[in-house]
Amino acid sequence: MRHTEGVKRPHAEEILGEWGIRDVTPPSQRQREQLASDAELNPHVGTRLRRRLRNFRADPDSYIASLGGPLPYMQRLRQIEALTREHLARLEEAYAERPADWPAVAARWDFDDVNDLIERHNRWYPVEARLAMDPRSRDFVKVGGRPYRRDPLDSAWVLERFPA
Amino acid sequence: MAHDHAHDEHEHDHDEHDHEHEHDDSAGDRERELVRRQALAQIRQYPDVALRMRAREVTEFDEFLVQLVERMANLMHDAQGVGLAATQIGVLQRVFVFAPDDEPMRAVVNPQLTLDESEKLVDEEGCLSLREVRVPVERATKVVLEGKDPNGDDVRYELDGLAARVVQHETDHLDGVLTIDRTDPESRKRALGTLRPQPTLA
Repeated sequence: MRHTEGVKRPHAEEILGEWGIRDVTPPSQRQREQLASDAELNPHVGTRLRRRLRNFRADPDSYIASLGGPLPYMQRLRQIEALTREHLARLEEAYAERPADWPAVAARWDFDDVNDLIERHNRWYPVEARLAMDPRSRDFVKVGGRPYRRDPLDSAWVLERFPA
Repeated sequence: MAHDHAHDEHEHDHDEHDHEHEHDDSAGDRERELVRRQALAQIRQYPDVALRMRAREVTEFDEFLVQLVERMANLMHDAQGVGLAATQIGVLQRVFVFAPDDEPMRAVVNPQLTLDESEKLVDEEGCLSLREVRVPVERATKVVLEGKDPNGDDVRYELDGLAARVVQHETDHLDGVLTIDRTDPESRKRALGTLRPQPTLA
């Protein structure tokens, strides 16, 4: 006689626990009824939950950003964008007068303020933003499909937008 | 390398003046903690791949290097650490700064370590890139550290105790080696369990 003889062979679904909720007790029945009545009043029934389990922690920089507003690299990028727009507006005004020596004007245009910020961005952005690295290329990953580095503004940049 | 606060707590005599300053102290603590978190936000955390990459030799001793060292020193101080390697902020250059105990900050470029293997000691080490993980690591108690300072001048330090441990830790960082690679299997297992991403409601 085998020692397992007479023992009920368990079904696969019992082993895997796929039988659903069993053994309803009076307290659990009451909880279930309460939940059902709450569901009638809940406007979110049938909508997707906004809170969900995620298998990662929030980045410290996003946490800090939520506490204290934009981080330095974010502010610097914003400044670069604002200064670039200012230069574009001034260049547009100057270009409207159609100066004869426009290439010379473009060459003399002073971009020091924005170029200084661009240089600092190129230097410190990967550090401050903890930009991910590609171990194969040993370089930083692209941001939005483009390298994070920005070209400094110069006469070529001007002439591309406002040809001579 | 992270500072061990357990060894650094000062005992205070409690008198009536302490109560007056209690509020100020807690506000100061909160501010220090905020500064520490801001600094840690710029320090790469495990499992960032930058921590596993070998840093390149520095060939240009320029203004950028001086700025990098200055920034690293500030970060290390704000994060309440005693050492910081450039790879920990995503710069793959062989540079680290260290300031064990109350000693002045030192920066070493292209460091070369000579270990005195005659005496080794196992002690717990923390790391600014490994959050709260502390694991026992065996290190030589005396080392000679040679390299250059940020201006390109030769430097040579004979170090022992905590300073020797810190420079070995930081040199490991420049080779992509972490404390969890040097500890015993049981401690490594526990550390990896702590470092494993935890499911959170977000």
